[in-house]
Amino acid sequence: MKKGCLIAVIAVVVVAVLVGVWAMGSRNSFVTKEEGVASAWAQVENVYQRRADLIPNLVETVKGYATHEQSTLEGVVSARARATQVTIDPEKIDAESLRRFQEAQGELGAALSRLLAVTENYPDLKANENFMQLQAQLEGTENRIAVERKKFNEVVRDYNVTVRQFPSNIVAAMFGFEAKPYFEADESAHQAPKVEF
Amino acid sequence: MKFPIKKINAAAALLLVAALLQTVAAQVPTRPDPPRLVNDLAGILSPSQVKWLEDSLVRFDRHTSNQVVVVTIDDLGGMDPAEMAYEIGEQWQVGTADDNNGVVVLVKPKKGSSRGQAFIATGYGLEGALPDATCKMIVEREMIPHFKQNDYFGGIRAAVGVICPIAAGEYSKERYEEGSDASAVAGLLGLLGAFAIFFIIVALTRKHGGGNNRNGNSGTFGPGGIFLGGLPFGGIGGGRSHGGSDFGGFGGGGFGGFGGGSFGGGGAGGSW
Repeated sequence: MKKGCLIAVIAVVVVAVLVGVWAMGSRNSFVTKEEGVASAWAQVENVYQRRADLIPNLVETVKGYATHEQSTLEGVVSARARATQVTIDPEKIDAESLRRFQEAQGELGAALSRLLAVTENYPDLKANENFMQLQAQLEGTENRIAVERKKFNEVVRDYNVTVRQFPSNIVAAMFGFEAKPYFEADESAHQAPKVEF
Repeated sequence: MKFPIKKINAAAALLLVAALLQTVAAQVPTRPDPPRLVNDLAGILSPSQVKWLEDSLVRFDRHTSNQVVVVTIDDLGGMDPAEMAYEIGEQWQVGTADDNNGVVVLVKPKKGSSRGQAFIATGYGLEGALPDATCKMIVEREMIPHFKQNDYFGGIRAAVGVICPIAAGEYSKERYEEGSDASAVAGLLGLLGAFAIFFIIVALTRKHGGGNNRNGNSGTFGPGGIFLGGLPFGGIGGGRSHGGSDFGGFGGGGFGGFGGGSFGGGGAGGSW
């Protein structure tokens, strides 16, 4: 009887240790994946910043030719100012903050496409070397935004699956790892500035 | 009861994701096996042209580790050319994992009423050497003028002839951007010379008689062949015969395989 008891105690201890080791390993993998999400987010902000950085130069160039488009230009400048104010701490991405971020950037995207649409009326501007370069850079930046958003979503998906899946979801609940939000396809993404030469 | 529902949701989400990935993957051509750098899926190049481009690009890969992939495709499957080029680069893992130094040159020929599309996508590591504006210029200046005349090989050859030296740092994008074609040719003379010497050696070691020269018009395997062989890097235009095919099979082995490079959406394109 005593021997059986001892075996049972040892078994329980062994199982407890194994579970503990597994939980720690699982927690570590959450930490790693969360890091991955944070760095993917940094890339997302990078490419949006890249777009914002192009705008002053673009506005200056357009100003020189399109003298009657004051309100459109101002729309871009103020949308840029609003968009650059919305940043997210990668540790604290939640649905609400991501929605606000996307909204601000979406407005900037829309203002930009309005601006590019009116430039169609200025042949001299369209032939300007500097403007053509800016357009190529802007298009490239939109592509990069699409790519980094997609990569962010993929990393988040991988993380979320682990957060929700049994049994790692127990560890996630224990240590407070929560599912993270995705980028959603928004209107401005569909009307990203398209430039035809 | 909460548990199973959550699990089912997760499973459903996974299935959905898998299905979505599947549809995207279905449109992007699968990575060639054995790996090839020139993939003429649209069938707009002759076998000798493909061979010539492949040999040039394999050599370039071997010397610089920069991988330039050429893909021609009839149908973009509803995707943006930029997206398609990026997906090819990312899924085939063009370029090395350390340097991400891959380039995808995508050509969708003009057929019927659909516009022709060309796109040059750069891996993360080459975004600095080949910025979007430079890629745009290469597409507009080197590719589209040839493509408009249905000379797909000429356009691809001219583009590759500019991309390779810039990617290798042999001549700067600034010089290309401001310069005329003449300066481009001047900048490439060194490369041309190297090729010429290489071809002379190959010609001398391979065959003396010049037996099955398919060009026909030049009886010997001499300077004509050398010149045509070196020509593609420089795009001086002119000759429509492609002497490169005569040099088939040299160089000891083909392309070693893709290296794990990653793309971030860099590059530019154009249509005609």
